[in-house]
Amino acid sequence: MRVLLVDDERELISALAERLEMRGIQTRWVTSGRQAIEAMAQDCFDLAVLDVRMPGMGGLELKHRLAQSCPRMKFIFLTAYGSEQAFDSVATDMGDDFYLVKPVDIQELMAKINLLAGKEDA
Amino acid sequence: MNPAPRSLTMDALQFSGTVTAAFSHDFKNTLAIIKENTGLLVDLLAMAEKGRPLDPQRLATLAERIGRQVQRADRMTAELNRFAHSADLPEAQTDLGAMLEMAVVLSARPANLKRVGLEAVTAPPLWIATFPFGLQQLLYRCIALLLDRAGSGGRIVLEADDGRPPVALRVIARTAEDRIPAGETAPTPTPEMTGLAHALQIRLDWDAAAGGWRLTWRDVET
Repeated sequence: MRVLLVDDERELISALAERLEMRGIQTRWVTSGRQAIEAMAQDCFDLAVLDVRMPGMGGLELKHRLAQSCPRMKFIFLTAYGSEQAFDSVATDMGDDFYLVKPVDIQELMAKINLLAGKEDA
Repeated sequence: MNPAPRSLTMDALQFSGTVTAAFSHDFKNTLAIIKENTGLLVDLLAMAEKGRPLDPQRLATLAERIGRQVQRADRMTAELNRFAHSADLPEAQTDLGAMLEMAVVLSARPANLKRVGLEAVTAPPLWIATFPFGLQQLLYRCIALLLDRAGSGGRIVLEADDGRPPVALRVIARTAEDRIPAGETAPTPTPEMTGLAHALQIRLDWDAAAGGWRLTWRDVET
């Protein structure tokens, strides 16, 4: 599974990418929505992990842009909201996407990625 | 039909909630960086136990990253504490330069999301008796109405006059090309901004030539 990671916090997303690589996930990380769209133009990804709030283009808008060029792509959102309940109250258009509250537990993220990989294989 | 104006108390509560939410988001991001880089250290140590060589420089880099984020969190805690104490007294002798610097901190997140820079032009200390929390609330609202005018790559400048009466502040927008945003009508201050300015004894005007707000203290000697 190839995963695109997008978060404007460089020192977060680069470390997360390295930890996923150690667990056998192919990753590419970028720090803005514009860079993510450029990355998608060069490469194809199965899954994108997107920060919800980023300067310029947030994760929810970016999802719609990425899904246009790759409709089968899956999404996991990262949010700095205080809790999943708090994010639930503002995110009403999540569909089947997953989201995780920062700081993320790597095992929980891996579980979500594996679940989505299983769906992809089914 | 315009919605009925909220009370100043409601507006103050909403402002306080918005600011503390922004701080909490930044705290979460800081904790996330610390957690991911600590986790990476643990992963590298686990791999070393299995025989993979450990690069000391790599460990030093990760430790530096974690240290920087601890400093960032400490700075945010101090800023949040300063903001919280701005509501301690209904009137306090306040340095306007320090107020402008705090306004830059409080509006940093919404400005960053729109890729707008914020700048407080520091000047010699200019002391005035005011309600610091209320002044921050008014500056926050003034900045918010200028973010789209400045646009991505633009900036908002906060500066105090030279200190001669009447005391005045300016909150002005500049585009990415360092120009006054052109061809737009004056923004309408919300009823809450007008009410707050009145309560603070501040005259709030739109200065078209400067491209921003002018806040003038009425009948105040420094």
